[in-house]
Amino acid sequence: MARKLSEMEAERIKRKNLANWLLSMPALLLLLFAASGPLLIVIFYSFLTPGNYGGIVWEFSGDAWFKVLFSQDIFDDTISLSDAHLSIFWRSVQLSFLTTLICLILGFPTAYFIATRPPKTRNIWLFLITIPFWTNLLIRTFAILELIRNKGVVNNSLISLGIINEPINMLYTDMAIVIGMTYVYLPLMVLPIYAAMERFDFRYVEAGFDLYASRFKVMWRIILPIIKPGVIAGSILVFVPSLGAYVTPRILGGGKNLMIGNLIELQFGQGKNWPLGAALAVTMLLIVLLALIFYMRISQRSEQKDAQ
Amino acid sequence: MSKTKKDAIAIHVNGVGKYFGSEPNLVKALDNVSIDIRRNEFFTLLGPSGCGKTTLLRLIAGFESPTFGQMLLDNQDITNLPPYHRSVNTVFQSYALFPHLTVAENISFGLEMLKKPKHEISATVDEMLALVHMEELKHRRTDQISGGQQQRVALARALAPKPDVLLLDEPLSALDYKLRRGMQIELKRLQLETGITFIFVTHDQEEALTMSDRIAVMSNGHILQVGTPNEIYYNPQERFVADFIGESNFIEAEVVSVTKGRPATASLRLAGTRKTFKANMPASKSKDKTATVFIRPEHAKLQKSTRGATLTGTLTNMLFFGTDTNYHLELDNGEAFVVRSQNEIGHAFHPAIGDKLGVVIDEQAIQVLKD
Repeated sequence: MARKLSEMEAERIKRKNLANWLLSMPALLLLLFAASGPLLIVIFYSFLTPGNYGGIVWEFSGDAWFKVLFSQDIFDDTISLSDAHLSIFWRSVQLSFLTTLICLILGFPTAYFIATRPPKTRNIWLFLITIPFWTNLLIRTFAILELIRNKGVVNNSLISLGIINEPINMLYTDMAIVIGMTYVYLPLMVLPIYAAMERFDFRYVEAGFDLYASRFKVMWRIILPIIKPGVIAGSILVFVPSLGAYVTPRILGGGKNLMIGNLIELQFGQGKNWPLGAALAVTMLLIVLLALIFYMRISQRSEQKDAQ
Repeated sequence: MSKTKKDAIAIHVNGVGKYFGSEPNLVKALDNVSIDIRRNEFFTLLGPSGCGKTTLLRLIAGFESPTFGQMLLDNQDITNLPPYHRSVNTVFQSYALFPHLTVAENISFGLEMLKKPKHEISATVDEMLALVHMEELKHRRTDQISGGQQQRVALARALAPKPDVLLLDEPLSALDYKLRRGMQIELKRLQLETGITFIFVTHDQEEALTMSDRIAVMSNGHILQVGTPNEIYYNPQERFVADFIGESNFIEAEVVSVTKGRPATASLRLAGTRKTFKANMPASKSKDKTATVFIRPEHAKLQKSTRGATLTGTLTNMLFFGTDTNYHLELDNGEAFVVRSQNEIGHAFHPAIGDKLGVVIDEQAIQVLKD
């Protein structure tokens, strides 16, 4: 009897598993073809030979991967590290990191503010946060350009207020790119932190005050550690697209201050070197992967430390 | 200097009120409350939900500031002091243990905030763990222990900084009955061992009676009566207090005469009958012609004959409770009255429904209420 029951149970679980697989099949198929497929093509292309007028020639070559990091002198064939590529990689990581940091500094208080409103007004604030998404990214970026150019709104008002005499040159600098990316990705920082903060039980704050913790200590020792998952999610959501940003550095960086995204675009366009573009794209993917592993290691280590 | 003096005042609450909202939706959570809580006392705020007991606790903790009035802790004005500057700790109803910290880290949190030296912190944490019998679970996370264990950690965390006053906000309400009884004894032991003033909030009258040195019964933002469990139980001054604690009989009576003294006594007559009986008078009772009289069911005795009885009536119902039986009577003037008597083996007295019976009550057990 008992055996029969366990057999029936096993049968039931089997059937349930099958049902779950069937239900997730559409999403799995979409992911397989729409996400893994293009990625595999990109990886495959990075090992082919570039065609003369763009496109590829079906012939294996490791040349693209070599060119990601090294350059060969046209005259004497000496091989050296590709300064141009490395500096673009480094700038991309720096600017993305800076953007993430500024988004965190601006987004955290915003999320805290929204989460501490009465439930009815919270939705209004969230609604306001999502408004920028209604307009095309290109238009918004041009609007930023209009704001920060030498005769733009910001400089004109500062001059008319007498704070500065000469316009501050912001456009076509790294600063312009960071301002643009911060503006675009700030909601992606606010929303996950808000989600974590909304679930946060504010009685912990009272408990902290009760146990002699000042406002600063309550923030640092209680609120931040508990909502850390939200902060991590927000940081990843800002850092990853910043690293691959294309429109913002193109318009606000003026084509002088390239980021990885622009470099990749260049290979598929004017550069007519598709395999190199593909290799650069895969390299960016690896940088993101490394950053994520690094981040996970850090948060895991601090968790282990907590558990000891 | 006065730290050892038993009767010194730990918390002095002077004419404190707390209003929420504004007209026309003004809520008077506390209205002009004054109270003195002595040092080393187990003091209980007892009342139904919404009576203002938790509000008073939160004012003492410093989570809210009063609309008016003044509060002193050891003769120092704490009315507007933030909670982190008061030597007062709280055991929260929900425990509010920090989920990202272990048991030991939760207990050491307050000590770290007070910047105690490291060796002192670890010594105190071990001492507190031993006090609540939680040594083995020191490194557990707080979501990996049971509700009763969380309760102990919450206690240890609040006791670790050795506060002047410990506030307990219905800390036992989430526990099951057996665990709750165990914790009642435990709490009383902790209070005696640590010598800290405990202010305990509950709506459970049994909890209040078993643990407290003194009880304040609250209703509608007011304190109705403050006294020892005995005083509250045997000599309630107001109908609400008598009704809230234990079972009570209330009967309307005419005041025949009043004899002054300490305590004053009155001669009363049950409305609509000729029978007179004597009762305790409260000091501040107004000189009305009628009065409400209060009698505990277990202080009345049934007898077969109506001769020599304080009251007489007809038996309408009997409810068996194991150790006791409740006899429901209809008095001669039509009022209901309950007598509770202990069941004894071989008891010869077996009344039947419809019998005319006598009720004997000791004068000491008959109390005239203020209102």
